[in-house]
Amino acid sequence: MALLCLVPPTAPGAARRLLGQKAGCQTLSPPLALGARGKGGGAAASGGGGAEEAETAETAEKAERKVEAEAKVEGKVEAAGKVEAAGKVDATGKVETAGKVDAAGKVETAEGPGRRVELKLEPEPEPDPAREAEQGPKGEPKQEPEDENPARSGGGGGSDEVPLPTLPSDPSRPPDPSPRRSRAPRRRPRPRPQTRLRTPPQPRPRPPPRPRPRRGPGGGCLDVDFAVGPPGCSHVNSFKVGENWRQELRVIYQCFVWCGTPETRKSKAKSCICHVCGTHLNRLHSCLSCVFFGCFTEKHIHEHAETKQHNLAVDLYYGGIYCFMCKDYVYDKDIEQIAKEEQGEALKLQASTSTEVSHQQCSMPGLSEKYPTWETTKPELELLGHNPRRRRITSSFTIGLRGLINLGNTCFMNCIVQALTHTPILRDFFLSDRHRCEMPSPELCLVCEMSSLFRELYSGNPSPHVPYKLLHLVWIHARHLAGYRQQDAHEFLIAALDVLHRHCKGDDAGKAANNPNHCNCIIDQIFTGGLQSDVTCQACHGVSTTIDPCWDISLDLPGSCTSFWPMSPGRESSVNGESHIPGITTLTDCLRRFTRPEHLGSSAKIKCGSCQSYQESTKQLTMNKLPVVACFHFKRFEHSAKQRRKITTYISFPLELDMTPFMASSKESRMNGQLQLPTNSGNDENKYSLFAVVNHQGTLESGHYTSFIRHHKDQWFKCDDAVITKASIKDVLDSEGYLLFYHKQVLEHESEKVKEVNTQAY
Amino acid sequence: MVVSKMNKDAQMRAAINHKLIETGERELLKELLRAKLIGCGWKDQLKAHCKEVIKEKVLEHVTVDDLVAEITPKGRALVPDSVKKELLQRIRTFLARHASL
Repeated sequence: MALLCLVPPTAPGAARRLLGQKAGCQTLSPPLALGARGKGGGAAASGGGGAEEAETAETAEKAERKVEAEAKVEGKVEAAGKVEAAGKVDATGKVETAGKVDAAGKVETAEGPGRRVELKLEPEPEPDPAREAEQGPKGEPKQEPEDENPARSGGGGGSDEVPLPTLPSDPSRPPDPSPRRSRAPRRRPRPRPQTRLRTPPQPRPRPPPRPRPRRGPGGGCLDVDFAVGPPGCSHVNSFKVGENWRQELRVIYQCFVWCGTPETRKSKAKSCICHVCGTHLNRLHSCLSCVFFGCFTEKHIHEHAETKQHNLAVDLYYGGIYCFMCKDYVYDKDIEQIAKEEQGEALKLQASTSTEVSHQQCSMPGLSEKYPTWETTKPELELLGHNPRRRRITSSFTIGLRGLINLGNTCFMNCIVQALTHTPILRDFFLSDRHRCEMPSPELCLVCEMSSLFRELYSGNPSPHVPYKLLHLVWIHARHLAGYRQQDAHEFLIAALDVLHRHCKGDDAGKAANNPNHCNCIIDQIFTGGLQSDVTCQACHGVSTTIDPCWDISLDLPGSCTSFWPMSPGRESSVNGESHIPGITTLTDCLRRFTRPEHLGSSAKIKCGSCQSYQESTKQLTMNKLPVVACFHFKRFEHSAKQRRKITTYISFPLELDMTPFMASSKESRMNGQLQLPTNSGNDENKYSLFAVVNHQGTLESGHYTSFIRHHKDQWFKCDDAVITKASIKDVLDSEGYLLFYHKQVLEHESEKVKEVNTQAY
Repeated sequence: MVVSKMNKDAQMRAAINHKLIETGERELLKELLRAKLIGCGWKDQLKAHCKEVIKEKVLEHVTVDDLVAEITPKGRALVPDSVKKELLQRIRTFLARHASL
């Protein structure tokens, strides 16, 4: 007799899973099994027999035993042993136990005299196997669909010795497969030593009981349903009379609570102070029946309510309605609805009518798009019903890891796909279905295909995916990459981003509205950074600045014939915690070199605007605006006049990167030699975390691409086409590195380009 | 109105508040704060605390006021310094822009 819910599952799912086990299947997880069987008792020994249907006699016998046992425990039995073995237990009056035994051979368990215990718990969709197992020994006919009785025959409920069919904390369901929601509220499972058998009394996580009717000193029963508003109190109802209350209420919301327009804001600023003490703080409320503002903390609004008999007030901060008779906030469905609408309107208006310059740069309407509560719709309910399987996300889940078949030298594409599909913010965008296709022919839309790719890779399907459609679209849209020749992964990345950007027309409206040069598609939001180029005239020292958008940073490597490395690598100590061995170049070294002022030489004079002549100048590149995802490309493939080769120098790169020293704003401090940053400079804005590395093995002519991607916070996996293997951080950091992908650690709020608000990417 | 009752400090506060509301900055800051508090887990922490309070009190009739009284001190204490600093910074920046105040 085994399957009981023995250990409080940490999630209801666990319990259900337990129950799903077939009768007779005793494969409980070890802690469970032991605990369960401990207190066995006679009936338990017959265990396992799950599906047996005992004879009625047996039933009675068990009932008898149960009653006895119960009696022992309860100490209340007067008629121990008096149970008639006629196959029925004729109860009333003969056996006084903690429970009553009724004529049908069923015993009601009771916790105490007269109290009926409900032994069922969770509404479980898994019916019979578990149930059968439970009830085996009792043999109570399981075909009692609507059996609400807590105990089956023989299931005497109270006893410690006898296996109970269903224990209070047991999610196994009594024979009823129908949804449980309609039943009366269940009591919380309390530890009941008598009734609980082998189960340690533990509260089970269960759906919260139906909220009980709430108080109302003044008035009616406020049945608070936590979903959407129920009827408010009677006082609110008396407010809601006539035709105008809705409009009046809206006006109050628009003018005093959620102000969308500059006019209302002005009026709010001016008039919303307490009429008694003048404060704008202290939970200011507005009377609903007249023009009066009073603060709550000092009870000024209360005084007003009392003297004027105006019972209702609205909180100017949150919009809640307070009833002074009921002495609490009341939630009226209609009013809630109006409030929600007004708030939404105001938020939308506010972004577009704000007088602040900084706000105006936020070109997106719906800047502070409130997170709406999700209430299931009918089709969603159906979908949920059809897909009851719950996925438990643990640290070992592999969803998102899926190999990609090589379709003929397509490893360059595969590793970029792996990198992109593991870009946290891009993943969030696609998995939340944000793409709205506006292409004339959606089957040619690369963004749609990306969307579908994300769905495939995160489906949980472990077999490798064949990205033929993607390849086809790439051939169509990026002709130069068509064919089965080996291609450059970096080239593919740029081409892919370009096509995606072009196809992203449907998303995130407002892109062209304020700034035609500034697309607001997800690709731009994520990958586009601003590269600032400052050309300084050596004669007049005038600086001419241009800022260009860029999707990646291509870095020259030491040893290439085009590069010029003025500083010996290793001279300056590591800034970013890279493993700094003298002689080994680091990513930071490369970046430093990339952002150093460069003398353009006398053969490359630039026309200076102020000098009006050609002068020698220096040029410096820095980052003006950092992208959310920074991609670094090491120029390993050299195609110079002299030679074509691959530079295989190992470049050390860090797990975490601070881009502050390379920003335009840091130029001053750099010139003064203060390149070093204290490691805990409070500014996290420019810190990045590595999340993908693309590597190339082989030569210029022929080679193979693989990638490392970060999964969860600390797990890395190597993706070699269809084969995914676990890798260590050391593997990643020791690899040669060709393309490095870093993700910003903290995403800014008012960078409205990114709707994520101050979340940690990892 | 009752401006005379307020001292200089309060006057200043009121003036700043006035400007914040007028420009809509207050709403923006509110949203920002809300988002930050959610992001750093403050909301969840406090929610859990609320639940505990309710359980402990075993009150059938918990009012919003009761809850507010109970959780306000803890709520205030739990706000991370970084959030406070950032908001302060933003307000400062805002004030700098409106130096005429």
